[in-house]
Amino acid sequence: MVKIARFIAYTFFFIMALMYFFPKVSVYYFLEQQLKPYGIIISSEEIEDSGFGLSVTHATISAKSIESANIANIDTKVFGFYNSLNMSDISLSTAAASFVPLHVESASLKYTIFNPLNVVAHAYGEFGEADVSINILERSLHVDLIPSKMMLKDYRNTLRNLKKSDNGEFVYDKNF
Amino acid sequence: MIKISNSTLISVFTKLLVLLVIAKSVSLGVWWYFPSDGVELSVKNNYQPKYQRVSFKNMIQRARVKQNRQEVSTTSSGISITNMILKGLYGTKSRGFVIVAMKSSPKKTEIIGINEVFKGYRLKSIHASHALFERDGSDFILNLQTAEQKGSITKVAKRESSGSVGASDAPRAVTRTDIAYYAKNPNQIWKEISIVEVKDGKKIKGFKVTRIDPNSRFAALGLQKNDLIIRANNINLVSYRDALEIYKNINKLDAIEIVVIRDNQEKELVYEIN
Repeated sequence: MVKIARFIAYTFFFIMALMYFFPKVSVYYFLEQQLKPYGIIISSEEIEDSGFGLSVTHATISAKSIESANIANIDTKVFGFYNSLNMSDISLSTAAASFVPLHVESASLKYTIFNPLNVVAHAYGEFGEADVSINILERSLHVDLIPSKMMLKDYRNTLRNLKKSDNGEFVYDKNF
Repeated sequence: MIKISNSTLISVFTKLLVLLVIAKSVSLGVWWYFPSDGVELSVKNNYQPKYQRVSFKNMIQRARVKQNRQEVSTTSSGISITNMILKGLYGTKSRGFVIVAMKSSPKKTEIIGINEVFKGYRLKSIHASHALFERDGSDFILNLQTAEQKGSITKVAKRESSGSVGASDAPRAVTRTDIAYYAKNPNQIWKEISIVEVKDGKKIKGFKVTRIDPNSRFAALGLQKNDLIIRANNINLVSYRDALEIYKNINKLDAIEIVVIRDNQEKELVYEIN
């Protein structure tokens, strides 16, 4: 029993040491290169290795060369068994003003070994609240949206693209 | 003295140190393999001259008015020649030629140069809308024949050049109300028209109209299925960004000129935004 406890402790120590020394900035650059073929580029950002995580500030996200969003702060935590990405103060491009309200307070993505097939996300802002689930195996996206008053009043056309569920939420499903 | 080397503490410390070294080595290996630079957005700015709609007709008319004002004093003594028609004129005040005919036989035209004589009248000078003749020390004005004076409007056949840009159609009117409606109802756009990017290798060379509702506003504006939109307001549409720039600034524009490839020929469509 003591041996098992010691093994777990050493393993935990090794993982923590690995996370601390891991070149997170290089991994970030690698991910940026993986996104490039899809036309998604993160630019003008300041990156800082914060020990066990990575902090990215003032990032501009462009999709197919179109400035789509500015994110004031992105915090990532990668522990292997628990990984998270928290974004705050997101301003969408004015080109999207016809479709959705432009300010998103925060959005967070989580991936844990306890739910290995799904990446879950939660976002809230002027549009309301949204819970997102991405199934890696089935390559499907499911969004449950609780729209804000502003969304219900001014963006009814966008909501028409979503299915209305019985509990008043709006649902969007897509396979990719 | 207690042998430190045999203590459990040293054993644990050594193991932890080994684990740290392994973790650092793995990290260095990853660092060696992964890129050291990120991806930055590089946008090639389009340095095409800004599109400006110019009405040459207005410019010429304005110039004529200006010239006429200056010439009133010099030609006011001229007497109109009533039995001749001035069919055309080319040149400046002291150089060039005019095309004239007698009213009795309007199809029989003659080209007269400066200082040449026609039916006893010497061509003295050429002006924007008239020619000045001289006979026996008196000046005579012959005004340019206009379509109204002829009593009928000659139908001008549309000219389609086989080369680059085809003849442009007359500007079509687009109301700001329409633009505001589509901006507020973007789904309506995609109900009425489908546009996809067309690539030449990896680069976008334009946006193709793959479907258009014949009863839609877009069809009324002259767009047709299979039109490849390559340019808008002098900006080559080689990225989504270029297309979006036009969309974003549409409220500031009073005219949009788009160039499409239709039946292997470039065609210019001009829209006035009112």
